[in-house]
Amino acid sequence: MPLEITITDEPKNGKRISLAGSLDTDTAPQLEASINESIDSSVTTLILDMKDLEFLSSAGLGIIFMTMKELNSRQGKIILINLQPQIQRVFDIIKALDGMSIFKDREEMDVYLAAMQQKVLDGE
Amino acid sequence: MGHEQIKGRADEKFIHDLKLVTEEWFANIINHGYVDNETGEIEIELVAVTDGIRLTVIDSAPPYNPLENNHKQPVQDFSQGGMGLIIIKSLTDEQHYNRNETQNVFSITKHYNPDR
Repeated sequence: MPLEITITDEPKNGKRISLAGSLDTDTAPQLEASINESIDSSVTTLILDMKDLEFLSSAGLGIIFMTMKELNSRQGKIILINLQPQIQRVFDIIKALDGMSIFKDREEMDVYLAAMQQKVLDGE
Repeated sequence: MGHEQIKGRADEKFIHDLKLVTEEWFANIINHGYVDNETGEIEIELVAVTDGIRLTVIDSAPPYNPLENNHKQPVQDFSQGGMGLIIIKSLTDEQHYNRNETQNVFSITKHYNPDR
């Protein structure tokens, strides 16, 4: 199964990568290349939308964790949304969700981001 | 109904997990076992056992027992091979490794267990 990658802009130097299909040994290099090409050091928030991602193996996890480390090293963050149950299970097995925020859907993420923004505005 | 009758069936989750385990082990053989080879053979055998599937994968790479691999690297280092083995062990019920004269023979059994 191929991997489809769609990259769109988000507010405040954010980017969203929507993945569809299979992120596995065959396709992980494609994602790595897309990230290297489109996610430069100005990007502080990277949203990985996995709504149409059906299959994820350790090769794909490797790219996601590498990107997470890179973003964390410059105070950026990676946000995962719309994980299907089989994808969530792979993350659960590896139990390496530190440094990542996971939301059920876009709405839940927006509520979180609005709350974060409010905290900043309140000077907390 | 005899005891030998097949118990349970492969649902979508079972098939997904078996596919993932197969991918992880193949990737391991290709990335590590056959790393210096342009080509290499991998033989795969699927057997329906009474309450699940037994998958056997045979390769001719140098000896490598995945079950003796004590992960010195913490998971946080996110080595792909390390994560692959964790996934294989988590999603299967039994794992066996055997080295014959020239081949690695790795087999896993996965039961039709809705809890896993």
